[in-house]
Amino acid sequence: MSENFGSPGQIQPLSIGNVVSAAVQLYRSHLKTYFNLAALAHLWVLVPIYGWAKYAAISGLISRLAFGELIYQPEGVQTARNHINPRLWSFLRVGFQVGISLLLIYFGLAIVGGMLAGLIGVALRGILGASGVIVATTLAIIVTVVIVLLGLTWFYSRWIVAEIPLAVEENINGGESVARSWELTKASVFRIQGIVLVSFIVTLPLVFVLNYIPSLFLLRLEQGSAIYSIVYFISLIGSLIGGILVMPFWQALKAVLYLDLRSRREGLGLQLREPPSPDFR
Amino acid sequence: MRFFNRITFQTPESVDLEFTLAGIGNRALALLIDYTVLTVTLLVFFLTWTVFSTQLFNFFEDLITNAQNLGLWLIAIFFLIAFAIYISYFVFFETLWFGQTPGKRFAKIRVVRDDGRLIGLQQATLRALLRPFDETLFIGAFLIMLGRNEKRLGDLAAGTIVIQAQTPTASAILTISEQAKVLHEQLIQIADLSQLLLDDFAVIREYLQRRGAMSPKARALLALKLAQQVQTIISLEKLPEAVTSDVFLEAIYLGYQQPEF
Repeated sequence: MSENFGSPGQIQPLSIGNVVSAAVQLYRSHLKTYFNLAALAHLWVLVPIYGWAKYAAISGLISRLAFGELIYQPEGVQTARNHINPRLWSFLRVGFQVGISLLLIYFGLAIVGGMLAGLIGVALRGILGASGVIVATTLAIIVTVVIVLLGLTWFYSRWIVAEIPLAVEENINGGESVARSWELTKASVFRIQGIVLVSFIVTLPLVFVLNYIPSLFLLRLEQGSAIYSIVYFISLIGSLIGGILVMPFWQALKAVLYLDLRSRREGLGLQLREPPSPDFR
Repeated sequence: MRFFNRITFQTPESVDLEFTLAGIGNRALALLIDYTVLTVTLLVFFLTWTVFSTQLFNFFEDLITNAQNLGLWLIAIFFLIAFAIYISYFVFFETLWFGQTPGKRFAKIRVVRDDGRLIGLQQATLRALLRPFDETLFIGAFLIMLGRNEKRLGDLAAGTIVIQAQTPTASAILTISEQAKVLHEQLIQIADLSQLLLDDFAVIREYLQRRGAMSPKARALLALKLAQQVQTIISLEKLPEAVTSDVFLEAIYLGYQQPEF
């Protein structure tokens, strides 16, 4: 296809890596705006209920801004707010619906995984005898972790863009928004799991520098001492900044993913040019 | 705004070639795969080495006086070989596959020199040797994310750049129904297909290739929309009633394969 030589064309679906790269690029070029919004959102978390709704809505706002850039119809923060604010409680509802569902699924998976692991343990003890305890335990733990991890990411992938339709489309409520995410991600779960994994790796440097390094210092210090408190405070600030820095990246990623899913599932962007207007009129 | 960094190479014949840079996502994906392969390889090597050294140790224990030293030597040699495997994995593949490793192949990216030429043994070696430094505190990752040319230390030293490999798109098989072929013959008689441009055919082909992955409802709507747009362009009075929009678009696409003009 010579016309697409060396460039991911506008109308073509994106690869796993390109979804992540586009999100990084998008975030980088609007760093200040998105960072300020994310900082605001994190402050709101301290206020129960209303603050959480604000947090969810501001997350949606960042995604809406990112989506606007992607479809070449950029919006100002204020214009985007006018769309987001009336839907404040719907955002909270979406957040709760997805969060609680995932929590229930997590418990369910843990129980299933635990039972399966128990069965493996019993079976292996029968085969290997008492000496197989270590092997059996290791295997059981691995089985549980794999089941929980795969299952949870499977469901998370289905709801990954749950709040994006609410943020960018007109005439849609919270429930419909979640249902839409479920429908759009139908044939893409494996790809989305890959995207989530790669995104996690890409955010690792930031998380590592801001969250893990300060915590490492904590390990060597004596608990209760003055230095410990200072370093503890620093590490807390570090984690907060880390959280604020990473959040817009995920929201931008969801916007890119939503566009890509719609392009795959609904052929968004596929259209012919305007027909030449007859000039004899 | 642009979502992917691009770079232009000028060939000695003064021809500009534009490439898209690999991007942090593709590079992370490639690294993930390469490190998985490497981990498995090193694990196999570790197990073999353990078995081998235990045997050797048992054999020599009674023969020499300070067997402890032998153990240390075996561990030292293990680390040397493990390091060699780590480095040579990248050198071997990037040299043999012209700038690609299994991970890079999967992520469809390639290492080339700054001027667009293929890399050789020197570049691959320099990149591989500087890899441990890039990994320290994720220096490489930060450099790729923040730099305009997405170069990590190894790329800076070796004068290389990582780009998206162009994949020769195997022209995916389009299933054109018999009905469409018949319709095509009729359409040539009653409509002016020459009004359609290459870009239009590209969009129709895109639709025909990707329709299988679309949801039935969205697909029906899109097919109808495209069919109506085609109808306007070729000044067809009304869409054929007996066939679906899909068949109509297939029939139109046949006009691209057998140009009438």
